[in-house]
Amino acid sequence: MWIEILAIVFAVAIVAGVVVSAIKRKKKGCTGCADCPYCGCCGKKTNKSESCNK
Amino acid sequence: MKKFALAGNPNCGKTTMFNSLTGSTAHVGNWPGVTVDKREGVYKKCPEPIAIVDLPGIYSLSPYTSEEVIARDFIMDEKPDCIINIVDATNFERNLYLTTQLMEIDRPVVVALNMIDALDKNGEKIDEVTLSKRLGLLVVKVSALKETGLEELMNVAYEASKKERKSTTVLKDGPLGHLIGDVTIALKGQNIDNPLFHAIKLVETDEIEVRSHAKAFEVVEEFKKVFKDELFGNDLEAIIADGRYKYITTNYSPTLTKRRQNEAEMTSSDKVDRVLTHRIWGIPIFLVILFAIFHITFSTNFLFLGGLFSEDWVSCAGTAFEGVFGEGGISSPGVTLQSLVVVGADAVMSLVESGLVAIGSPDWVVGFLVNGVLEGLFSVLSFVPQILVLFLLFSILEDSGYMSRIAFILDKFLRKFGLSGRAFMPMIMGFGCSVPAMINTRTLADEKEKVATIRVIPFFSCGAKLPILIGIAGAMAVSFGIGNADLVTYGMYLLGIVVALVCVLLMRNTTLKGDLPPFIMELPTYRMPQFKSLMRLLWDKLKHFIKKAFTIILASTIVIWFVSHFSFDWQFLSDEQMDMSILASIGKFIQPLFTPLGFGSQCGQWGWMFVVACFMGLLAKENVISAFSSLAACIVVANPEIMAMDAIPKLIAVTGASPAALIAFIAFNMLTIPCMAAVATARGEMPDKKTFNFTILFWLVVSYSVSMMVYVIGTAWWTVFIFAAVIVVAFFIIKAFFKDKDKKAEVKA
Repeated sequence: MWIEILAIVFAVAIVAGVVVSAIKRKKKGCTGCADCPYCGCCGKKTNKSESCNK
Repeated sequence: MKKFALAGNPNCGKTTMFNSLTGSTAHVGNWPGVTVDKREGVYKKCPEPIAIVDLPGIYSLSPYTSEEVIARDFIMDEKPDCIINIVDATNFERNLYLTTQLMEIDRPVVVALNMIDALDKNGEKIDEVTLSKRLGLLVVKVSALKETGLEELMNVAYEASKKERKSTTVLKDGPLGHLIGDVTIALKGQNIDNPLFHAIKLVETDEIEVRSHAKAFEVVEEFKKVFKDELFGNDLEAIIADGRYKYITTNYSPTLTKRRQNEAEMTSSDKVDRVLTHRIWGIPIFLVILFAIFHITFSTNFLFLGGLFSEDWVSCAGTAFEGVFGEGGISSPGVTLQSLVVVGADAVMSLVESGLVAIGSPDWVVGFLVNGVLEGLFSVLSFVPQILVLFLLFSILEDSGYMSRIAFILDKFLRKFGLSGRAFMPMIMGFGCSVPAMINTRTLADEKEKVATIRVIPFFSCGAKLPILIGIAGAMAVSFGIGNADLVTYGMYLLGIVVALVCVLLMRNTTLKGDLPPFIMELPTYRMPQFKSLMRLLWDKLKHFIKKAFTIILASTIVIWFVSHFSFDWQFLSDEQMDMSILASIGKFIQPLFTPLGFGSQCGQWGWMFVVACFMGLLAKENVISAFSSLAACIVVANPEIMAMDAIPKLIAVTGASPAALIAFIAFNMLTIPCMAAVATARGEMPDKKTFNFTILFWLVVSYSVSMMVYVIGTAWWTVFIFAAVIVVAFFIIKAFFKDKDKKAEVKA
């Protein structure tokens, strides 16, 4: 029984996490650039890029 | 926080210096135009933290492209506390042209003489003390690559930022000097910031300045009526440019002590260029190099040595590494590394499965975690080695300076299609990822050329589409015993390039007609690719890929598994009942649309999986293969031989998809709407919403039409003549229609 609950929690957590972070990024104007180590909204806080519309 | 700007010509070392100063990992390429956006970082070794802004490279402050507008606007509007002008010491005179413009701004300026190590290697020397006196600016010798002189530079810039600096100009003499003086006084009277800079730009008839200071421009117009130069007439912009270079040659060039070089002596770069940029052999050499890259990455018969080595030795039959190193031929490095990852992935999945069974997990949990999640995830992660090998090889080409040469030799060829060699840069970046490639189109001065280039960038298969290419090509070899993976992949890349060129030709003769600006580019010196830079790039790529795999792809795999195991009335379905699931119902509804492409209704009961995979590819292209793997793992048929197959061969076996249909499937996914990140970037770079909406429609129409052609020609080869005739006739009709439209517009005007 516990393994079933764990599997469901895992699935919901992953999907919810991805959806929420995508919505947050969209609100900040981030395009989710594939090659973007510069943008604060993608995780690295040291650099900012004009592409992020921040 | 104080803010310092790094300004200089393209390819002078700004980004290398930025990375060294801020500890950043911004991408450095050995071609002009890599940085198209300003970047900001922090330098922490001064008494206070300093924000460092890396600007795109500019040759002058008279904007010609949008990247130059970004740099100029930053300097004029944001008023950095100090401008660090990076000058490539090996291209001294040309770089100082920008310096003579920067000194006309009322901001502190420090000159960093970069690549001083390369200058020393050439046996040349610059007397920086004399240069500094003559420029009236502080000069520091540095090497951003070797990280020497950087602390001294920052300390000098920090001290300079504490004092105000009055602008000066090299254009002091003669009638022009008087004119500039008069306009400066006029602008001072209007309390304009940086009056000297704006005055000189007005005299140059800079568009932006003329619009902003129309009244002061009247003084210039009066002057032009009476002034005439022997050489340039009253073209004041040309006179000013000539004046600047004359001043540089007379006053600054003598500070450079050149090595005594025979006029006819060639540098090593020149010698290599004689071969690589040969008028006839240049392009064939490029195609061979490109093929070599694909061969090293994808070939299962590396160097065509099949049969030379003992099959037993190569195949490792009966061991855990069976097939990793090749069977009947040696696998290329890319394929070998991929096979090793697959061995590891299979071991992990077996371990997890046996662990779950041991603790008494229900069947659905085992199916979800092993067949759904892990199968989907590993199907994508197994391509990481090949993607990294491909990126490494392209980066070596880029870093060495060879890519600039390709842009140069392709310029003449691309012009026949309505593009300049400049457009080659973003296209080749599209082989990595469409997003930075689309951003890089800011280097294109012509808006229509930019839109045309953005539209065709997705046709250049990005790294995310590689799993589709490799997965399907590999499955075709297993199922039909035809084709080498490297040849199929190379062929599909060429198809993408051909489709891109045809589409550009059509666009540039119809809706995006326009003249092309001349292509002027500085060829960087050849250099050995920097190991550190290459490894940093690979590490960034790997991190990004893994992050994407464990977020978007993992989430998509989970969603696919759930909607393929539940019906509309929320009944849980076993693998055998998957045909009645939500996903299957939606897929079957859309399936007939893809019949002309070969993977629609003719694929029968399980054909909807192709459709679902295409749609999942809209989130991330890697999802296509992960969708196949998750779904095909759940196909249950009576034939044990089919049940034992890998995901895609299994799907091919149960659907009866032909090789032509599979190639059409690859073509469709290569050419259709790219992933959401690329779509969002395209929207940002397009001039308006109408152009963007048309672009979406364009992608759909092109992918559907080309895939249909590929399938029909693949099924009945003789139809190629019919299609060729239809295309040629359609082209002429469209051209005639737009020619007529232009004539009517001309008459109306």
